[in-house]
Amino acid sequence: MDAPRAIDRLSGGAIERMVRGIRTGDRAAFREFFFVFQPEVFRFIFRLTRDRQIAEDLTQDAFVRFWEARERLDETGSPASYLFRIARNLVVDEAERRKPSVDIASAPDEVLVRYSRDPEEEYARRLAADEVLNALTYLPERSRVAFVLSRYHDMSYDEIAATMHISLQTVKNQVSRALTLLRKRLAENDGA
Amino acid sequence: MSYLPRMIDASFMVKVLRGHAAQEEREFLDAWLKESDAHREEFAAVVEIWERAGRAGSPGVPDPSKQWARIEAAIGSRVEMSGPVHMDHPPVRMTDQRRRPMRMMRTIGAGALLLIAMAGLTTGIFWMAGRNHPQPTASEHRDRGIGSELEYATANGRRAMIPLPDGTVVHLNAASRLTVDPAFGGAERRVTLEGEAYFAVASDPARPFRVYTGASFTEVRGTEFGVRYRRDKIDVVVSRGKVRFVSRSKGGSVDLERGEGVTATSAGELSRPHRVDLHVSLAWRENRLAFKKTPLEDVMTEIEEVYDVHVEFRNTAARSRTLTGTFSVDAIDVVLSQIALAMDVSIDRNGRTVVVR
Repeated sequence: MDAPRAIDRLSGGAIERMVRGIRTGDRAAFREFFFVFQPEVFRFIFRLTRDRQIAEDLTQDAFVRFWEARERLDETGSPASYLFRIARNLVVDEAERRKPSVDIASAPDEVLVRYSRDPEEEYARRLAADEVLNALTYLPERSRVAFVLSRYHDMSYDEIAATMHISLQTVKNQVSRALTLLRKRLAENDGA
Repeated sequence: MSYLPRMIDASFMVKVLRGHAAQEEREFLDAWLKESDAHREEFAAVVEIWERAGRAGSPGVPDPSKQWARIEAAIGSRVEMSGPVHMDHPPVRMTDQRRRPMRMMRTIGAGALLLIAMAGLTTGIFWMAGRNHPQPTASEHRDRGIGSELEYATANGRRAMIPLPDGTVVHLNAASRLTVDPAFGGAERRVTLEGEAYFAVASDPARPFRVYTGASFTEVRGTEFGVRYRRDKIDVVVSRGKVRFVSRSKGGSVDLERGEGVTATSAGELSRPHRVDLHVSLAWRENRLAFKKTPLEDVMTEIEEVYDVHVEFRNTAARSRTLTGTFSVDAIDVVLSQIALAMDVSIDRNGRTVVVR
């Protein structure tokens, strides 16, 4: 039974058509592409940073960079993979830049919460059983990205490998590692 | 591609859970599970974390129109749409086949394909032309909208994401049909829904976005909400902004805000607005199935729609038992076994046939 795909809900043809347009500098095609992928990219970045403002800024940057690289876009490769790769790199750079004050990869949740003043987001936080998302912030960057893409963005291991530029076996190892670490941390939380 | 690993790790279990595994791989896991309690416990722990992670909410997304405006500024705005535009000679760039927006889309006439394909480029023009011609003649008809009716339909087990020319994005759930009115983008942005969809509506205060369902419609200006119109019952839930629900036949209306919902019959009888659990109502968007005191009969109807299976009830007494819980959509056998356990029935699947005993 095929699971519905988040990225590919439009047929490949529609995305390819947009990408062909983008390569020739067609802004209308790029606009269409943006409206299709913006929610996925924002959510991806938000899940990694857990900061609404940063996620919003980086989403914007990701699309601008995608546009700037339009002439180098590979028609045969997956544009989604390329877009997510840009997004991930931006998140890593941002974390690096902020390191003295906030280390996103290892900061306890209290530190990250300071940045989320959006009441809607607070509401969503309360609603969700989101210890898992908290626990995610403690994972090493690679396993976090691999897990998030697999769990929330419907990517297959092959697609994750293409997105992260790592081997299929490494993707599997990172997903396994994420689950092991999450299990350990959640068991600690439940016990506390 | 299927290949069997030397040992089973969490990533292999996840692959099976997500329905990405081949028959051979599923059997390999089954055999491994039969080997020992320890193996079964390990699998249960992975399933638990996977499911638990799936229950975490999906963050709300910033208004795409506003964000697009900033991106456009960042990439340097070149005015591509200035100057006179002759709609009689639209700049057709591709053939209709290649521009087909979706595999499962059915269109009324080939001209519609060309027009919708161009809509992204010429949206602004349509609007302006619409204002210049308040009383359009038949030949000017398409200046006021997308030109001809477009219909998008999803079969059981399928879903679609449909970008509309105004920037609105519609997520169409399984077994649903969305019709975009030929005059979409004229005075109103009108679509008709049968089934279930989630709308992230691009903001445009001048042109209300209306979803017609039976004898009522839901009107918004720029917001996010879900509409479900199945089996003569309409449910509307709002996850962002404000929405007005109007009964055309009875003339009543209700205003809804975030976290509120209303139920109506297809004849237009309205309920009072009530609080809704967005995690339950919009679970399908997150690839989840969520039920709250839902009769098993309705649960199985949803299973039919989502997985494209046929359900037979051999246990009539169980039909009215109610279920509360959340399941991940991507693992039908896991979902069925969990439902069976919770409902104290036995559920067997043989291909596309599911039997409840």
